[in-house]
Amino acid sequence: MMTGAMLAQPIKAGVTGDGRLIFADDALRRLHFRAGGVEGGMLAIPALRALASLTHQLKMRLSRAVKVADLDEDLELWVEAALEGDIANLSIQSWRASVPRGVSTEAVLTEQNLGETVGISSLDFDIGLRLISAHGDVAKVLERSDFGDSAANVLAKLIKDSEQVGAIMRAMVARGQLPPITVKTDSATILFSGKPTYSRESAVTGYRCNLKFAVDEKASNYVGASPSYLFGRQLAPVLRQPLGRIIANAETIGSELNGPIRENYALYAKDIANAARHLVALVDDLGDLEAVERVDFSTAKDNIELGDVARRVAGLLALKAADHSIRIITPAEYQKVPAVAEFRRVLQILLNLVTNAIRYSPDGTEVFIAIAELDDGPTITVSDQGAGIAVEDRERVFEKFERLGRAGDGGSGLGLYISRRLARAMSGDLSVETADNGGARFILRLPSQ
Amino acid sequence: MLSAVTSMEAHLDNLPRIKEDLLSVGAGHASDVQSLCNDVAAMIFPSAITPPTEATISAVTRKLVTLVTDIESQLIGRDPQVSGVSPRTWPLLSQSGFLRQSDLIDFMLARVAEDRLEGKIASSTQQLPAQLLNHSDPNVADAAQSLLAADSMYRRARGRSYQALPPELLHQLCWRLVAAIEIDNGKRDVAVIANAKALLSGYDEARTAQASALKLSHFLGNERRDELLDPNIAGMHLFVAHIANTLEIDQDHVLQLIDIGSSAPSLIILRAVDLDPERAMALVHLFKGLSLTPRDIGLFENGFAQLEQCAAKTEVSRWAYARSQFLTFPHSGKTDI
Repeated sequence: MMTGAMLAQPIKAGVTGDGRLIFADDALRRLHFRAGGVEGGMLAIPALRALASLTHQLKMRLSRAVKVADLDEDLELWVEAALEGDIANLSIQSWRASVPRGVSTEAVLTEQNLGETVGISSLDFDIGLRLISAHGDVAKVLERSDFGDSAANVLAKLIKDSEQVGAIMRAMVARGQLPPITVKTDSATILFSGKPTYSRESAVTGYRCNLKFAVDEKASNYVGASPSYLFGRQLAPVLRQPLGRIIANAETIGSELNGPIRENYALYAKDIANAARHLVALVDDLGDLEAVERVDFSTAKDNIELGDVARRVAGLLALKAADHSIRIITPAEYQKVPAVAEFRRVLQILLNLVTNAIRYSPDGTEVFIAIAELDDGPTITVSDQGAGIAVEDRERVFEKFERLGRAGDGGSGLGLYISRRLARAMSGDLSVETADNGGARFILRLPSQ
Repeated sequence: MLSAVTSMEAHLDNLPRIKEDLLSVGAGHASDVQSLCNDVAAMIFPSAITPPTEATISAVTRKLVTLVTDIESQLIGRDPQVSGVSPRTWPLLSQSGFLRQSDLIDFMLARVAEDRLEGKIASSTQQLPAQLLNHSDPNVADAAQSLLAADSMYRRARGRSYQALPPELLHQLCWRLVAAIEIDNGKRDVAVIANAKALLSGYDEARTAQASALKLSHFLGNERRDELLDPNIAGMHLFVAHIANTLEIDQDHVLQLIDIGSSAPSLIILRAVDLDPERAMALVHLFKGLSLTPRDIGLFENGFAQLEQCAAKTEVSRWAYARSQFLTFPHSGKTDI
């Protein structure tokens, strides 16, 4: 959103080599003062000062777009700079105001249309910061008894993060402008902003909070969902669909359902199917990678039983293991170790660990999944009878894209990295040590109930 | 029984055709797998995964030689039009590693991408900048004139390739060359230093094609948006500048993303600037030409509508951040620009 007009005449200013503003047309002088500058002092607008400094340094004529923050708006300037003697002359040729990036449109909506806009709500508080009215979707989650209650109680009901409630309360108490902040509830992400309300005589009459629901309930049910989960949420499904077709068609060719073909052609078709399967796994890994690397990634806290997870994993991978004559040994039915973690994420970690164990163990060996309640919490271990992992590689193996020199085995080098990130996101950890028989033993620790 | 035998005979008769069909399906799918690999790589690591081809490396080297020759000619007072002269300072600069500096190579890669893309647009005559010469805003008219002049200079004037460089790079390259000439001569030459100062003081960033295109886009805002987003009308510089201005990313980055073999980055960029699907498809046809496969078209048809504009913008910002990190700290580790 852009406001303001082009300049009839450029706005001029002069800046010395050490950054002092020695002259400026009125508009720029006022901007300099608003930014905390003083007469004859250092130019208080960092972007312009940097441009002036570059002009001094290069001794060349420059022509750049510059963005400057001014109170609650951004200014977009086109500035040409040239050195004359010891002064960098700035000539501002356009001066446009825009709403800062990331600020929601509700910040500029009028009071009249605020309540009518889909997904936008407002809360009005009186001078004593007691709730007096609510408009839009937010009204549906409030009860009659909330009206007249204090802002602190109302906000605490809506927002779980007490620090965010504190930040909003501080702005309300100070009767200050609250710039938009993102707050999360169980079912939605809300862009929250606020400002004091005034009477005709300019006296403060209360405070209005504007809420824009950025993510609907349906979207937030997707694990790790966020509007900007580009790969995992939006592109991965687009990629999976043609890959699925490729696998199905290649399998059809390879299994000679439409008639016999030369053996090597059938093998090529199987290679195509395997390559596509590898890509599906890679797409899944990259989607997970994107999710776990986000700062707002979180997992659910389910009450789970580790023996149950172990047996499910063994069931899922039984056929794969049988292809290599590998046996998966699971904990006994009676053995139960409870833990607090997201069930499907623990399943994902274990699937990764057991798949790796099958992939890197000699045929005809055994993979052991064991569970235990130790002093530092519930653990689940996956041990194999493979070559093991050297001491110096035990941390490296959890790094992104680390394959320890292996190639062509269908791995992406992301599985263990993602698994450890998932374990840590659940307040647990994943480590590796040498098993009794010399193979690798991966230990997943999780919080107890 | 008879019908089973008849069916089997018919099946055997058709066998060669079935084999042919299966193989063509198989080959098609193998090509799809390869393209999907490229797409995944291009989306996650838009340029790191796409190593430059021999042709690109050769084009970059040619451009670098021209650039060094042109600046050197200005510094030592040699006629830049003289052909067949190789730059004296080339061996020294090559050995010093300066010519492999990431920002210089990045600039050259962008120029090569620009040449390739410009070769694909309908006409080198830029209709929109020519029309803007009569614009009521003198800033627009002035920038349009600068753009046309810079473009003409860039295409036709020999010996002045350095005028297309951004000021920081020109400054750096110029003084490195002064130092190299000094080492080569075995003594300081005040005339060379004076020529360097004259070259730099004669430079005006506003007169470069990139800055004037960006200025035009800045002053036009959303005016004539449809034409700005049509490279056949706006010309490559202005088209790229408008995307860069809208998404607040570097123009050279836009060029490199569009020029990548995969059409996935183009999809994301064009979605981020909110272009309608038909026009986006037409642009991808224009830039990818015969290399566009049915899979690319499918990706566009399915992916473009599903992709949210804000998500596309976020992804572009992420690439831009990674690129700036790489250009600032080229040896600091892995990057996915």
